[in-house]
Amino acid sequence: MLKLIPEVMYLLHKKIIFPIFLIFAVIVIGCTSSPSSKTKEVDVFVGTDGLTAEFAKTAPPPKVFEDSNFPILLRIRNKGAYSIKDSNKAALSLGIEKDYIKDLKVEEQGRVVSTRFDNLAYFFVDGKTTINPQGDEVITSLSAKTSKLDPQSELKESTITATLCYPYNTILSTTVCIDTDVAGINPGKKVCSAKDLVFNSGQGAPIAVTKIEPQMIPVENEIKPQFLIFVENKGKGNPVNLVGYDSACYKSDYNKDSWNVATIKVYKAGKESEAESQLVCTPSLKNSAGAIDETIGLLRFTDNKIFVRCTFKNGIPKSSEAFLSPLKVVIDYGYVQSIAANFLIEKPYKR
Amino acid sequence: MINLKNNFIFSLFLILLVLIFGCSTGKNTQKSIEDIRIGTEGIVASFVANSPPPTIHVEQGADNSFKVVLQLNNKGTYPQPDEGQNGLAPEFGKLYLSGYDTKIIELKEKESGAPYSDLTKKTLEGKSTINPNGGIDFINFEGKVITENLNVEKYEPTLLATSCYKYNTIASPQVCIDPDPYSTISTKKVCSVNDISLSNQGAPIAVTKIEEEALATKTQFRITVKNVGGGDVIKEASTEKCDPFGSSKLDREDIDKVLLEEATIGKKPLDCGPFAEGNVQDTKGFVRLINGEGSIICKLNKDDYGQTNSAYTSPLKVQLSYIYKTTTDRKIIIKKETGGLSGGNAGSG
Repeated sequence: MLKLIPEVMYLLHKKIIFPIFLIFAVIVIGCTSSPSSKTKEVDVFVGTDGLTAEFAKTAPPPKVFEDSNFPILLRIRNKGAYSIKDSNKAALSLGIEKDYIKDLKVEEQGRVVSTRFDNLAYFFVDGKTTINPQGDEVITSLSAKTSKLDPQSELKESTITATLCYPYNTILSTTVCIDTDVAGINPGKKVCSAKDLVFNSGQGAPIAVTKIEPQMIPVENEIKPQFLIFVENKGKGNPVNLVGYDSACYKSDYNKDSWNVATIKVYKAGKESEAESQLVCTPSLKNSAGAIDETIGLLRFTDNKIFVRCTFKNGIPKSSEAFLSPLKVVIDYGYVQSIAANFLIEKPYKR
Repeated sequence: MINLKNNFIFSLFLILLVLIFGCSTGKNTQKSIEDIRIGTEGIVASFVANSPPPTIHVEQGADNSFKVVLQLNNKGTYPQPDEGQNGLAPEFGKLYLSGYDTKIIELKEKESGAPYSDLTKKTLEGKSTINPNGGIDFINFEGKVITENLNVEKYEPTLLATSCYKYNTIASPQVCIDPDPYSTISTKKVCSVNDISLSNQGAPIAVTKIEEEALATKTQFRITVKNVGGGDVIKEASTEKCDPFGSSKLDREDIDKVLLEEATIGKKPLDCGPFAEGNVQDTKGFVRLINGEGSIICKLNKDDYGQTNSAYTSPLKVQLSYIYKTTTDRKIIIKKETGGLSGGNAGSG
């Protein structure tokens, strides 16, 4: 009996300690501050992607028998910040080896519209939004049929290419310093001084503003703020002229002068509709009549890079103090990019 | 029995404590003006927390107003109750807000509707024996964001509050006047001619040193003046140039100049020089500061000594006046809320 006492005590002790431990755990966990429920602000204007496209792993299948139907599935995602709308659709053209593939057909869906050309379709897809920070996507399904292989051939490797031609734009909104005393002659503290602004993370589009170099040009009793805007093609394709961008997808004689071209507009504070709030950019765009529109800058990329010089129309009095002002850069362009998938066409085994 | 004894001792101890603390003489909290004349600041302006708010969300068509409140504290000793008008400085100065694009932000003082605040109308009496903390007042600006002109999603200006105010520095150290500095007869003197180091006088400009030299015909004082407030000192009459939106700007000739109003011993004004403007030698003039420091030499002729042949002490009153400019800033973010949730086609940086 006496021998049992320590065991009973031990069990009793254990039974008490466990509930105490439980209560303690509940209090500790309960009192731990819950992670902040404040939603993190999403900046959709980040990144250097526009549309991205990829073929499904099994469509086209890696191997297809001759003279048989097979599916093609293309997943197109808008990873940029610009939404391609129904009114200004993107074009998708498929390149096939006509000797080996025939009867190509695009299956029409809500956002995919086929055309009279078998290998051309149009679609629209929204870009990144605060409620969908990943960007929207559209799945394009197509069907095709392989032709008969040559009698001497057992198999043939074929390639399908998908080319996307779409309108896109890059918008950069930033705050610049209008420094009326660049030389720092005037005494006293300045709210800011003009210095280079570097943008490394893109603006949610394949064409990105990478740097803005401010220059305050003295003109009599005023300064004229001028900005060197450096632009780069950071995407996997090429910019094309926004006018007739889709013809890059289907016209074999597409104008070579339209390649690597974009237009730029720069705005300072003020109503965008007012001419005064738009900066004068050089080189400027010539309209169809040959007249120069100096409010639209022309970007002609060389080695995927270019810069443009944009200047305030009116000067700022030197007597006023430095201040911070918004600057908005809008670049409009068409963008062309391609992907390819390989597959084997083989003859079925015959006994 | 032991308990009773303990209680008795404890009660006795308590009574003793009460007596000790109760009978100790109350500490004299009244400070002399000399105790008050310390510190290196004048008018100090600071933005009140959340006014303006760090982020202002604006919407097209909505009332996109916000408040900017600044607290002003006169941490210096000008004006004293017997100075200025009713203890408030006449034409004290102004506080301006700048650093933002006026096309986007509109700021006006609530009371006057002016884009600046007149400090003369504020109760900013200096530290004194009756108010050792100095006057405190507030400025309310009403701000409005003009969304039609805001073509970006996010605008990040910095509001710069610049206060330009008239201020005075008074230093009155005791100096030794020795009418017979080269005496060969050893006599006991009440004082000897020495250099005097001073710290500050409750103002952003301070008299930091007085180097005295007794000559046979005069006593000479080299008075060193220093900018200790961290701001800029501006010549009087250049107040309007503080306006960030004004037509004229401060130039080099307007800054680093302090007006020596008077340097007196007894009531006798001293001849001082060299001055930066006007007469090189005078009883009043501008002292130029170089790298925040300047000096002037003042002299008292032997004819003006007191009617005694032995050394004596007398206060040397140095009064300086100037415009002082200080700034404080607050960064804000103005975010434009777009109606739709659609990304892109709007823009951000």
